[in-house]
Amino acid sequence: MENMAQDSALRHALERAASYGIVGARHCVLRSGQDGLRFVQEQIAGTVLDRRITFLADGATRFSCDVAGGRLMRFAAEDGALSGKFDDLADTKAVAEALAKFSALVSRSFDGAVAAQARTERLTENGGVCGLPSDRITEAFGLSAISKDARPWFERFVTEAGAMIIAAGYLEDGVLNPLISSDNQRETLADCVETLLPEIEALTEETTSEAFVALARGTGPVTLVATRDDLTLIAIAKPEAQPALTRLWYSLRPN
Amino acid sequence: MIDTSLQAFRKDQDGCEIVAFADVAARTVLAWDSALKWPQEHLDALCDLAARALSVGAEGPQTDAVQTAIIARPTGCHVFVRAAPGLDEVLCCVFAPGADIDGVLSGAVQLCASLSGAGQRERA
Repeated sequence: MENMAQDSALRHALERAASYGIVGARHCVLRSGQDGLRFVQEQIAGTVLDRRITFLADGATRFSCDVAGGRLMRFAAEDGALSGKFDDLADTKAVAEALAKFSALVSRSFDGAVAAQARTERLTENGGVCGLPSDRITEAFGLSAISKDARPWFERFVTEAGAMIIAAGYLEDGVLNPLISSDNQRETLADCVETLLPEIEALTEETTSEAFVALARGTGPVTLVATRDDLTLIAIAKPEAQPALTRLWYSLRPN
Repeated sequence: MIDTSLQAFRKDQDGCEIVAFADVAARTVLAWDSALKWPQEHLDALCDLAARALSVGAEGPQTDAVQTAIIARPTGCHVFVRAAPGLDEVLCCVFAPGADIDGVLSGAVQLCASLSGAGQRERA
């Protein structure tokens, strides 16, 4: 058992290391222009160490970004046609121009593509100074920032799921706060937190701060865990509700 | 035959980027189909994620193993289904974010069972 815990801890450490940009190749299926923009923004936001992220569309290299601390330092198109840097944020005109170029470059790169990929490598040269925070990129791309307060989002999810959800609560600072449940169901939720949550959370630890996991055992109820930032929603749902709840989760996400 | 079945399944599902038939006990992808060439390390990661998702609670008091796991992330939706309870053969699919997966599960179980031979064993 101790070995298993050590293995799990090691795996978490490695996954975390990957999210910090030590190694990594990430992937996203593209259905709309927004998917590509969101993918690029998330890769930048999730890279803490000095790294060059190379973005590919359908396997072809399109552009690269020098990133550190979740901030964009420089970008350059693979064909050299477009490049820019964010060395001085006080120069608002230059920042706006570079940001417009970056936005155009990302949109153009993923236009008509079905898959985006990001490869991370160590920066061999100085990545630059200052850098543009990822929330400015979110704004420039026209993406909604994901609320830090996940509670209203969880409540809306549970309300709209209606009868599909049998019991639900959110976990905050180690305390389970029920949203819907009877006494018996509260115990079931507490058991779920104790026995399954660490394993389920290990499935969701990636660069993104949110994920949704739905597990079904035979014809029994579905165990559902959704995470966003530091909050975790735990729910027991009716059998067969997996696809509908997944669709609901996506539909309630901000673009 | 497996390749053809996987290809037909993927083409039937809107927004399905890859479908892979894997043995989660051996952590091996046995066959797969995608519009793009997936590097081996991505296939390994997909199989590893399937193995971990379908083994949640395996050490605990839960009597039934996980049969179906859905992991939805902003960058895509992973669907893992076992061929049948107790079997290690699994169908792994990755869909675009927000793709309609309503009709996927039953078809995926059916395909996985036929590929693993579970269907034939049940009929025998």
